[in-house]
Parts: sequence; structure tokens; C-alpha cells
Amino acid sequence: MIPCVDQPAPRWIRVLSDCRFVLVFLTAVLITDHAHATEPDLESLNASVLGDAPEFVRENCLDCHDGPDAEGGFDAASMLQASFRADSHAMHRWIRVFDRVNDGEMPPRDAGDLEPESRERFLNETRQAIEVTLQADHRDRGRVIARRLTNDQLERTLGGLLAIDLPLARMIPEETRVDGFTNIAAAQSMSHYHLDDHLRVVDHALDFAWRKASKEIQRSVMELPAERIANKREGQRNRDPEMREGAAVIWSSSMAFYGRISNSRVKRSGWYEITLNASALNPPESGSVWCSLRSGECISRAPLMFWIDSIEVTEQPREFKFLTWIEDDHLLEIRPADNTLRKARFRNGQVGFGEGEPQKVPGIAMHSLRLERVFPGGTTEQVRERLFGDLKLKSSRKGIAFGRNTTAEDLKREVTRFAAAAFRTEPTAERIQPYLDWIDERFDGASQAPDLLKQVYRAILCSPRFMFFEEQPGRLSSHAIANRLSYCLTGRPPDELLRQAADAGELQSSEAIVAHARRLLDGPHFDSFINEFTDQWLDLADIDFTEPDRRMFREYDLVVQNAFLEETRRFITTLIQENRSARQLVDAEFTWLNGRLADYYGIDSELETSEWGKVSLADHPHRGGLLTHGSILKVTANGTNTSPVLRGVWVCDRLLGIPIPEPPANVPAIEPDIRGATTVRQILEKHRAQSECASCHARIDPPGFALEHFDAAGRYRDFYLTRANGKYKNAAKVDSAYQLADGREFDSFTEFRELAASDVENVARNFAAKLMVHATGREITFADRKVLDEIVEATREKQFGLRSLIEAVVVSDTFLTK
Amino acid sequence: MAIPWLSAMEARAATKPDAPIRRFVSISIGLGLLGDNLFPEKGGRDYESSRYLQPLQDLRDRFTVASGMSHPDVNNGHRAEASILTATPIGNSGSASNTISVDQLLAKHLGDETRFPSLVLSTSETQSPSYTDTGAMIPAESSPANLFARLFIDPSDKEQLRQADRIRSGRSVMDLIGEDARRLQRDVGAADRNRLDAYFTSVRELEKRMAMNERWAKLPKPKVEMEPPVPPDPNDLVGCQSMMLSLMKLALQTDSTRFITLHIPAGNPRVPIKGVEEGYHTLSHHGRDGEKLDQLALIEDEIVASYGDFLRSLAGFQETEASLLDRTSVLLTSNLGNASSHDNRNVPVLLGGGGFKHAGHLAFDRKRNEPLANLFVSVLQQTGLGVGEFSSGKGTLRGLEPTV
Repeated sequence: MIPCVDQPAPRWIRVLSDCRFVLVFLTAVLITDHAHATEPDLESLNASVLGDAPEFVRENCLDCHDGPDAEGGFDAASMLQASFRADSHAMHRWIRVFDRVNDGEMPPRDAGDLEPESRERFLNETRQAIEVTLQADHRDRGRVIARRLTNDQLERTLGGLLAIDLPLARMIPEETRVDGFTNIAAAQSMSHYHLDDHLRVVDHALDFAWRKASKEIQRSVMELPAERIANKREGQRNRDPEMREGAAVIWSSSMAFYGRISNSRVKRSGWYEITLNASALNPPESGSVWCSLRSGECISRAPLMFWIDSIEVTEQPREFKFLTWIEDDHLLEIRPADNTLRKARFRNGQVGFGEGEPQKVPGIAMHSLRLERVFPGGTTEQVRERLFGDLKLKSSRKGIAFGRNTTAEDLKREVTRFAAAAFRTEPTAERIQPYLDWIDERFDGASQAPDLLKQVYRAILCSPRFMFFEEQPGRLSSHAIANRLSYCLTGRPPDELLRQAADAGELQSSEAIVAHARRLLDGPHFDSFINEFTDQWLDLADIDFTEPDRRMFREYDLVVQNAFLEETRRFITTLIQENRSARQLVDAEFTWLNGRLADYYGIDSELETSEWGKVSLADHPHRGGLLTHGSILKVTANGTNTSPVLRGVWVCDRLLGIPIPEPPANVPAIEPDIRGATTVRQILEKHRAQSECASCHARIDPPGFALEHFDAAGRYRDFYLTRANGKYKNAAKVDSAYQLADGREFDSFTEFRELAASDVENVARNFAAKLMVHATGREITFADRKVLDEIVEATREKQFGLRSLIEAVVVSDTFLTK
Repeated sequence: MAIPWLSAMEARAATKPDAPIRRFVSISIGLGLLGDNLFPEKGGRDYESSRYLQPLQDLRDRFTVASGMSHPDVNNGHRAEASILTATPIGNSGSASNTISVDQLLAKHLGDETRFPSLVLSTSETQSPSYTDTGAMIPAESSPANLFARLFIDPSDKEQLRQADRIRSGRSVMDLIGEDARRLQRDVGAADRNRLDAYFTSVRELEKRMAMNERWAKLPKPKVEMEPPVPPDPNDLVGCQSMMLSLMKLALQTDSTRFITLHIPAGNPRVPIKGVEEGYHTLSHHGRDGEKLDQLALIEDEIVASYGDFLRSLAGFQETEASLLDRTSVLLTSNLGNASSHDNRNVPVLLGGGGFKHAGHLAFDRKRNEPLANLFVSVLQQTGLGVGEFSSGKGTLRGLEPTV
């Protein structure tokens, strides 16, 4: 760290207070006093920070990188002419030069020998200059600017405050994701459109809570025996189930919405607990039929269906339970949903009574169905407590009414309480004064008091103190630490214990922070963390972005797709809970499967019906590790074919921690050609022959080629498919042999994985980096590199266990400083 | 990138009180169009029509097709959707921020005259190419029914009261949080103060919008001879596009707004056109596969034809001295020139109407592209903003002259 100066001084002087620079700094001041912004000034100013580094660039880079037509589009001359400290773009370019020299790529070998001492000196000077400048900037302004709650965080924060649970995030336009993450402060923009949306969400949440508190919203139950699940008389044709031997039946078929249950239509949007009793008809050899549950309007003008779950039914009836949100006027669709099953055919887009029976296809028989509206966010009493605290309520036909003796002071007491929770920080008088003043100005008797209170809550929930993380430059306060920790590991505001610890100022010790981190990871919201983090880090949020080509991938279906997600989430959960090594992210001897996914992967397993199990992959060398998860293989492909470049970049960035710079602006993307005349591999060979492409592709292509053994739908393949006469047939053999950038060769996917996993430090470092981004809302800066190195070292003893890495991240300097 | 400075005074000076109303419509396609089917081989007015332009041949002198155009330094494939109308490169790093889009620049200076300063629409979901001057994306309206209601249906008396109430109390909420933000600003660091400024601006803007809405709420909405639309199947991309376009025509015709963007996102619906079997996005990654190219072309045929129908419908509505088309520049473009490889160069460009001497096919260099923002400068000037530059556009487009 830089020693602090006692006297306040302009930032750039403090930058230079590092003793190493004091002498040159004096020279620089003398020059700047006389002439501004002429070239020699900048040069000497830059030299004062960078020492001899500019000279090194002049000697070693300018031959090729000079002027607008410089090689690789990189103009080092203009970099030298920009102010190193004042121009963040210039800093960015210096970092690029540092990285290229550091990894030995530049200056190119054919440009002559570089003295090792001169190289070392350049690297040291540049590294130090960048670090000192960035650290000073982070110290004065903060590494991250005020970040806003993401849509999901807003939903959970409002939910927690009001003891409600509503899918509010859906009401706001989706955020831009930066390298996967939705919470990057610099990418969050603000406009009156956004504020208007925010106000709408707040109104919606408050209105719901108000109505819940006034008991307008109640639990309700719908019981459907088989006769009511079925909705088809003899002779009738529709897409509902029909009665057969005392059960309501749906046959395996590809007809849209076949399986809709008209009588399950719900009148009110809400959470429903569904209980279904069902069994299988004509099951295949396996003895069971995989089915899907979805909700939707189930008509062709509104084809969007919401996934609920998949179940495996057997000839023995079983009971299944689900908790799901259903929109008003939506109904359930329950049907066999396994694409490998034989399917019945029906005429004219409808299914007539008895038409499925003779076709002898598998089906589902439903014996009873129950929908109960529930309130997982909280009971009516809890909502009342959050909204009204100690205020006396009296019964009223028109919603909420307060006792006749309610005073302005009573309201102010509740507003103080509510604001403290909403602002997630110390509830000082200063912070809430405007809201208390507002009550004094407008209080007009008890009868208007509920409206007034609601108005003030509305304002509090639109205040920047609610919408943004409040953090001061420098070391974070206990409350700010509590917020970071809680939003990072649970996606919601601090719980009671954490808030108490923050109030007591206890969160300044690493031990206390780690203790709370462990508690949160073991707590009830661990799943939120896993879902949110993997959605962003691993792009699982993109799982349905493309639909795999049905002709190429006949076995693929929604049951498989949703099992993909579950596999990855359960896998990461296990690695964290059991503190397994980061190495297993790349190479693991187990995974989580259900019967359907095991079949899809071609893995023999003895799994309980409809259950998930941890399965050993000892006999299945092609599976194991994230690279072999269907989820990852699908989100890195486009639904039809695979691109080694896109997959390679993804794997380097998200998993292996191999930095890939942006492609030069003037190089075209390769256009995939699946007609078979040229293979992607041949095209890439040509591409790499261009020197400006070679250096990046030496890193991108190896994982990309290794993963060519997996198709766009996540299956292992030895051959590419080609289409002839309307059918897909095996064509060219997959060739995954290649070598890493450092020359180590591999012959197969498994050999590649072995090599990649052996670089466990990098994998661990990358995991820590992604968590750091998730926790702080800013991408990794040059100044964070050292911190990440320390984190990795700190976990070496624990074999870089994921849980140890998380604990090291939350007590790192970067995490604890704005 | 700097936006040309323009005072409100200058903006007003640019539009004389009796000057005819000028309008701008942009239609953007998230997946582009197949260049081989769109761009004619020959440049100039006597080009031989391409496949996609075939159904537009009766309009030959009322639109220009331009090839060899793109935004300099804009790459990143789909992410460049953010740059379609701003021409600002959005880096991967996330630290780059966007600038105002060409439609919003017009709305900002010339949008006060109408109930809606601008309309930002899409055929599905909320992605749009329209950005505010704080660099924030404006979420698009994708429901034709909602749009129709906003444009033409007066709320019931009860609803009107409720809305007025919400606006009134909303305005006082804005006062209160504005006060709180001012206090907060004293406590936070320099970097966050800028952040709060953007929040402040939003509070003030929203307050202003609420005040305007309060005024407009007292005026009845225009009446049109059209039943509230029944939205087509959301998979029916072209049906959604056509329905939005017919509502847009009504919005222009009734002078409810003068600036509209319509975005057709890069989604993956299975478009109900005979012969199309796979998702739109899936097809866009055709990998030169003949069957996929054929299916994609079937969809794109209809997208372009629907654009032609829109031009025709505007041409059919006569205002004093000119048709609606002559007063409306209708742009069709994309962030992608080749969706299969995510290439952002050589994007499709069609410009219809707007009082230009249409030039047939403006064939620019496919290797060294012409900045698309030059066309924006031409449109801005023709629509009444006397700017000389916009983003990477440093002048008007070569070869495209205004009629007056």
C-alpha cells in the first residue's frame, strides 16, 4: 500500500508521494508550472510515473506500432503521447503492452533478442506505475461507483421488507449483462424511464402488501379428482385429458398444448402448492415415463409456457409436490415429455376420446390434482407487522384503518423503523429527516393516516438510499460490509443477525466476517446464491436462447434441458459444500444426474425413480467437470453447430482464466460453413497463418478443438453430422488433437482436460475473480491482480477448495474497500 | 464520443413555425438481412432489382438502398444492437457508456409538440435501439393492444381519476426523494456524486413527464377507425411487425408522435410461414447450409415486403401539399451485416420517403465501409435539426440529396 500523507493534497500529488517518485515529481512540477499540455510536459510527466518504460516502448515497439496504420491496429506512439494518469484509455493500453510483454508474446522473437534485465525492468516499472495510479484512484473515488440493486435484488429486498414474495423482476426490462454479470455498476444507466419502472414496481409491491394486510388476499384450494382433471366426453375432440379406467389420461404426442387441464385455470396470480397423484401407462422397458408440468394460457396466440418441473411416473401411482408461481388465467399442462418415447398421431390438431388407446403409446394417468394458493413470503400477521409495527389497526370495510388516537408521532416512529430496514444502514436522524418533516407537514388526522404512511413508504422505496449501495471511499463501514456479504451470498439484504453485528460494529475483523459467511452459506438462501451466480458466471441464464435443431438432435427435449441446469447447480453446490478443489471444476469423477439425463448421456446408473443422485463417472471418461455438462455445451453453441472459437473464448474466460484480448477491429469473424467442403479446422488454420491472429488463437483454439467432441446439444460425438436426402448421417471424423499455447500436446478431449485441470491455480484464481465481480459490481482491475494472487495462496493448504476461496474473497482488501 | 452541442434556441430556429411537420421512423432488425438477397449488383438508379427488393419496385423512386455501410469501430455482434442508432461503440469491458440515439435527439429538441415525444416499440420483448442522453436504453413497448390503448383510448372517468391521483402523488414523491438525494449527495464521494446527478436528472425528467401527462390527460385522444388490435401469435414475427407498422402509421397520421423506432429482436420464434421449420435465430446461423438459407430468405422476404407496404400506406395519406411519406424518413437497418458470423459490417440500409431525391442503389465500398451515421446527419438535417455532425457521422451522406 502507499503511505498516506497527513496533509490533504491533490490526488496526483498523493500518487507521487510514493518515495520512489518524489525526485522526479519535483522536476515535473517545475515543468508543469510553466507550460500546459505541450508534448514535452506530458512526456516528462509520464516519465515521472513510468520511469524508463516509455523509452523501452520507443526502442522496442515503435518499429511496427507507429501511426494509424500500425500493425494489429495498435499505435504505441499515440499511447506515449497521452497522459498516463489522466487518460484511462492510455492506462488501458499500457496494461495491454504490459500483458503482451509479460507473457513473452511481444516484442516478437524475430525482432531480435531482448535483454532479460531490460525486460524485467520495464515490467517492474510499468506494473508499479499502474498499481500506484489505480490504487490512488480507488482510494479517492472508490474502485466501484455506487451500484444499484439489480432487478432480482430489488425483488428480494422488497419481498423481505414487506414479507411478500412476488415476481417483481419480470416487471422491469432486463439488464444488460457484461461478461455475464448483471450488476456491473458502470453499465447500469439511469433514466426517467427506469425510475418510472421502479416506481411501478414499488407501487405494485406496496399495493399487494396493503391488500394482504387488510385480509383481501386469502389462501384458496382447488381439489380436482380424476373426473375433473379429465374434460372430454365420448365423441368429443380437444386437447384435454380423457377418463380411462378411473384416471385422467394423456398419451405421448408432439401436439402443442395436448395435456392442458382446463379445470385447473387459476383466477389469481400467486404461488401455488401443487399435489399430483399419477402413474404411467404402457411404459417402455425402463418401466417409467418422464413427464413435464408447465403453466400457461395454452392457446396458440400465447404459446409462452412456464416450466414447473419434470417427473418420472411409474405403473405404481406416486404423489408429487411442487411449489410454483402461476399467472392469473393460466392453467396447467401435464404430459409425457420424453422425445425418445413413441408418439401417438392425431388428426386435425385435436385428440378425440379413445383415439390414443389403440396406438399403444406410453401415457400418464392422473388420479388427483390439488392446487393450494400459498404465501411463501409471509403470513398476513407478518405483513402487518412489517407495515404497521405497533400501530393499532381497526376493522374497516375500506381496507386499512388506524385507531382513532393515532398521532403524527406514531407514524414517525414506524417510518423511522421502516426506513432503517429499507436503507440498510445506520438509521441516523439526518438520513430520515425529510420523511419525518413530510409527515409533520401533511398529517391530517387518523383517518388519512394510512394513505399518508403509504405515500412515505413509496418515497422511501424510491430514494437513492434504497436503490443504491451506500458506500464511502476507503475501508467499508460495518453496514456496507454486511450488505456486500449478504447480497453476494444470499442475493438479499442482511438478515437479523448480520444487521445486529453491523450495528454493533463487529464486522471489522476477518474472523467475524468469515463466521457470518459460513452461516449464510449454510443458510436457507444458499440456493439463491447458486442460481444467481451460475446464471451469470456460467451463462446458465441463456439456456433457452436457442432451440437445438430437432432433426439433428432427436433425443433432446425440455426435460433434458432443465436437467442440464439442475446438474450444474447441484454440482457447484457440492463443490462448495464439501470444499472440494477448484481442480474439480474442470475434472471431476462424479456428477449429479436423474434417470432422464443419465439416459441422455448414456450412463448406466441405479437412480431412484424421479430422484437426483450423485453418480460416479469412473467408467465414463468423457464426462466429468463443467466442460462436459450439457448446460455448458449448450450455452456455448448456437443450437445447430459448434464453433471452436466461441467455445474456446468462453472456456478461457469463464473457467480457465486465460485472458483473451478483444479481437482486432479489422479481422472478420470466420463464417461457419457446414456444407462439408471446408472444415472449421481448415478455416482456422488459414486464419492463424495471419500473424495478428496467431497469438490469440494459440490460446483460444485448444479448448475449442478439444470440445468439438461434444455437439450443440451436449452429446458426445466422434463424427460430425451431414445432411443428405433430408436425413442426417455421420460425416467427417472429429479431430480434437492439438497443442496448448505453451506447446504441450494433447491427443483427445480427456488429455486436454487433464492438462487444463493441472493448472489449478489459474482455475482457482478465475473462480475467485468471478466471485469478486459478483460481489463488488466491477470487473477485475489491474490492481486486483495482486489481491487475487494472495487469495489463491491463502487457499493452497486447502487444495484451493471452493469454500475456502469464497472465504478468502470476502475478507480480501478488494472486497472490504469501496 | 461528443454529441453536437445544440441549444434549444437553435433547435427552434431550425423549425420555422409554419414549416411542414417532419418525422423519422426507424425499423431495426436484430439479425440483419442476407446481403446477397438484398443488395443489387449494380449501383445507381437503374440497378437490377434484387430478390428482396422485387416487391418494392413500384416505389423505386421513393427509397434508396445503400450497401457498404456500417458504424466505424462498432463490433461485438449482437451487442452492437445498442449502437444501431447511436453509432457509439460499446466495448466488452462494460465501462464504455452509450450516447443519445438519433431518434431521441430529435425527440429531445422537436418532440414537445405531440402527446408522445417519441414511441419506442418492438415486435417482442423490451430491447430497443433508443438511448437517452444519459446513455440508458429506453425499454420498448411490444404489445399492440397496449400501444393502441395508449394512443387512442381515453381511460374511463374512474381510471382517469386514479391516474391523476397517481401522477399528483407521484409528483410529490419526486419532490421528497429529490430532497433526500440532495442530502445524500453531501455524504458521498466524488464519483458517486455524478451517479446521483443522473438520478437527479431522472427525477426531474420524470416530474416533467408527469406534468406533461397531466396536461395531455385533459385533452381527448384522437379517434381512429380501427378496432383495438388482437395480437397475432407471438411467433408470427412478420404479423407482429405489420400490426405495429399499421399502428405506427395511425400514430403519425394523427400527429400523436413524430419519432418512432421499431425493433425486431434477434429472438428465436418459429415463424409460421410455409416452408419454415426452424427458429429464426437458429436459421440465422445458417453456416451456408442451403436449406437453412432458403428458410431464412422466406422470412426475410416478408420483412422487406412489409416495409414496402408501410411506405405505400404512408404514401397513400395526403397532408397539405405532400404525402405522409414525403414528410417521413423511414429507415430500415440492422447491427449485423452477416448474422451467421456476427459480422457488423455491410449492414442492410433502406431509406424511404422523407423528402430526399432517392438515388436507387448507393453502392459504397464493401471493404472500407461508409459511416452509417452520415446518413443520420442527412436525416437529422432534413427533419429539422441543423446539425453538422452526429457521433461518427462527420457530414451528410454522399449521393443522397434533399429535394428542397
